Amino acid sequence: MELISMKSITRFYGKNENRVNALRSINLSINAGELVAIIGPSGSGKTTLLNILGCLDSPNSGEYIIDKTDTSKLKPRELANIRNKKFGFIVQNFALLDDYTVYENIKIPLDYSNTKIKNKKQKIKEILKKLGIEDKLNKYPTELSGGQCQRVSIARALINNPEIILADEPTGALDREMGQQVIDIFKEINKENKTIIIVTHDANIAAQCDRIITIEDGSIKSNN
Amino acid sequence: MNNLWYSFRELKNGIIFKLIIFIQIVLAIILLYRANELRNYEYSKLNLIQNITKNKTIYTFGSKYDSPEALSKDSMEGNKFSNFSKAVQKRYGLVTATFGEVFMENFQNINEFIDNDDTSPGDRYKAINSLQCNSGFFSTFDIKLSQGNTSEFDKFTKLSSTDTRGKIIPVILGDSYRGIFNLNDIIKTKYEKLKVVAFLQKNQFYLDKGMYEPNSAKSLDTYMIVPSPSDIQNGNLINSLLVSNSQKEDLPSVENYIDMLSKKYDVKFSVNDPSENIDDFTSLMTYNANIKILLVYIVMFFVVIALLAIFTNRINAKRKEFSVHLMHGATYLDIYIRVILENIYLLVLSIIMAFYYIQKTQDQIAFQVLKFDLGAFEQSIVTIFVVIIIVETIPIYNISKNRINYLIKGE
Repeated sequence: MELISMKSITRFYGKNENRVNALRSINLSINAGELVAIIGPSGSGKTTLLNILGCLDSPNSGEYIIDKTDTSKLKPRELANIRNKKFGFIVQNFALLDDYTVYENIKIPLDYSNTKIKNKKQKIKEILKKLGIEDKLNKYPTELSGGQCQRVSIARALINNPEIILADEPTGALDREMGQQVIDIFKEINKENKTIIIVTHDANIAAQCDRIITIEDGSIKSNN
Repeated sequence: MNNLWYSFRELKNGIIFKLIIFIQIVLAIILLYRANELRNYEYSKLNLIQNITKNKTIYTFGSKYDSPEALSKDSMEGNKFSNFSKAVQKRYGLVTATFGEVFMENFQNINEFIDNDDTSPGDRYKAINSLQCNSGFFSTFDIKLSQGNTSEFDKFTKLSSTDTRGKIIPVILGDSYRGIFNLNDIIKTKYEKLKVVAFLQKNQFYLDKGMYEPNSAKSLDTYMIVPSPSDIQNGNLINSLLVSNSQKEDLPSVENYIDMLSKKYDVKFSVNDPSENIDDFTSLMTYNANIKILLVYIVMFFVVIALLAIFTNRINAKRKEFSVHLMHGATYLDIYIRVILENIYLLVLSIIMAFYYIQKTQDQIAFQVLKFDLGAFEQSIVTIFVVIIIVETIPIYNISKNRINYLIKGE
């Protein structure tokens, strides 16, 4: 079932001679439950594509439909709701807030989803247990290893049970072994029919995905 | 609810910055309050002067007597002065008003009201600022009441001092007395009993003997207005003002008329025209008021610059946090509300602190303004609040122009 559909998506920054075309007429379709890798050189437009996929950015033209909803017609609050309910985000540097505990970091998506307070703690404990870091609940990110931080980041991405996980270089800050552990977690999540889209430089990681989309200079060069 | 929680949570972070912002806002409120207070004060004076002089000409009486003794002798003689006064009042307004004192026992904040020149240390009774005047004073100078009326006061001014002996004297109190005394209160003083029949509005001024220079415009806020019996008024003609309600009547015509009446009633008075100084005077008043406005602008300029620098710094330092929230379901509006709320907490604390400080230092700093000017305080708070809203919009607008992933990475 088609979950994501992009038609003729373009995105540019700047004006006139300073204009940079980050994405040029992107057409893309992703089905529910797919594990997709987006690869390409630096500056090719991978992250821009991921941002538009995650409703963090808007295209200059084209049509982007998520689960039959045209995102161009949505107001900021509705887009924020989509980000909160449909997507889980994982980024290279974990994007954990140093002055928030593990619990508080993971709680952020729940705070925007009308979850009752007593259910929040229960959910967070459950997901930390699933990821093997239940004893880190009240620690700060600075007290954790890189691998533990990425697990916290994954826990935060999964806490609202989203349909789609967007991961931008999720293993970029980890060693090979840790990186593989993260990919193994993604594969486990993918078995629960979650759609996972990973932006990566790492060919080894891309090779473990169902489909590899290659972007160069803002255009899709291959999609197989 | 999230915004409330996260803004409250943020209070414990960046204590040094919070302290700087807090001090900054407290100082801004205090400085702005002082500037607004002085500006309001100058404008009240200016407005009053313009009201007094609008469509009327004010003259002062001059004595042509050879000596004070001769004047005194004539004033005692029959009804000469009284008849002369009545005759003058058929054509002109006549206002007798002299500054004096009433000796009172201690009451709350009495020090604000004391005429220091007439109070001896250790006295049980202290000399309170007073102005003794006739009934024409209020209408001529457009002095406004906030409570009560002048009818009892007016009746009293028609009596002679013999008739008033032993009677309770109706008095009108300046605005600073509100809260200390109430309408119809009987006040026992050293020599007489007084009854409060009215209160003046705040910032009512009187021009001392019609002399046009800024210090002669006295705030009546701390004054007690006492009625002058008719014979005292007549004896005090030398301190009276003659008010012509026509701009067209020139000085020679008024002089001729007064000369004619003087001869008729066998008295020796002339009129002097203080209006030649009035243009300089109102220019000076306008200049004083404008200086205070300039002061407000200068204070606001530095407040805006300082707050902008601090908020930009704070908001930039928190952009990663904002981005993470945006990524997980917040909107820019949420972020904006959160930052505003954070600063509203600080603003409330700052208002309390500034209010306390201003109250505490009011009589040490203010020269003539003795009572807290709530209007000026409200103006200052509203201005600071608007400045905070605007100044915070700039860095938040700036971060909203960045791509979120850039913000997260801190690029």
